[in-house]
Amino acid sequence: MYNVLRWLIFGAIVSLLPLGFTYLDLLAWSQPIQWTKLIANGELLVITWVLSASAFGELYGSEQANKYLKLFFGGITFVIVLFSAMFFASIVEANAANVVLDQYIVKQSSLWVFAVSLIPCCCCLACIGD
Amino acid sequence: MDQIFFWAHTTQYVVTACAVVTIAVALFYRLAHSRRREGEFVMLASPRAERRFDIPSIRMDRLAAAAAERRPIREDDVAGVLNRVKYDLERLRFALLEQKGVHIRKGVESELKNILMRTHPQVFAN
Repeated sequence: MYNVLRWLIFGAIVSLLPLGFTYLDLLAWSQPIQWTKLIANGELLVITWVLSASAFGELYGSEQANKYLKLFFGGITFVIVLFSAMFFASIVEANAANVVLDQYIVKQSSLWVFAVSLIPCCCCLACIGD
Repeated sequence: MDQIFFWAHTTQYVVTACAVVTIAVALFYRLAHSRRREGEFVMLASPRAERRFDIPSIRMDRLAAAAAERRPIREDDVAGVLNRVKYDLERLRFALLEQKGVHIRKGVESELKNILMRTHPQVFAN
């Protein structure tokens, strides 16, 4: 549980700080705040795969206990890394080709992927133990 | 646009499926683990196993108490019982595995071994 809490505080929450600061900046400058614009370029996807990869990396070098569970959760986390990276690549590709994106879909998907991906990451860290 | 739509939905579905499978496996593991712990202690403390396999090196009364109280085996449950009989972990494991209907899992074996290695390191010296 200690590992999970540490990762949530210093991994998940800290990684969201740039978005939080952007939000505060917009607020301070009395700019219109739109979450869609904040994360419409797939910023949350980057955070998602970095967090997932860090949780996956924690499994290496850990003890042999729960090795099958670690293998399974590690595999699941790696799938999330792959898919969020591919989704982000398609967004970048669309931006490069000057294709008009449906920002609502990107925002909804990014939020969902980020929130849900925390579950396997926490499981990865939980099976490492304290 | 279609490509974004495709990847957005595919990623959502895949990640959601991953999370659901993860939760299911974690719950299953948790459930199986808790049941296993209860069953193991009862098995090891059963008089039948004690009689048939002659395991005097483990304090069956203390293990029975641990099973009744649903608490893990403590060091004092096995302390001071190996002074006359060498504890043969392999013999115990195979004997219990042979007996049908005896609920033996590896968890208790390793847990016992860890405790015994701390309390009676001389037994495992060779």
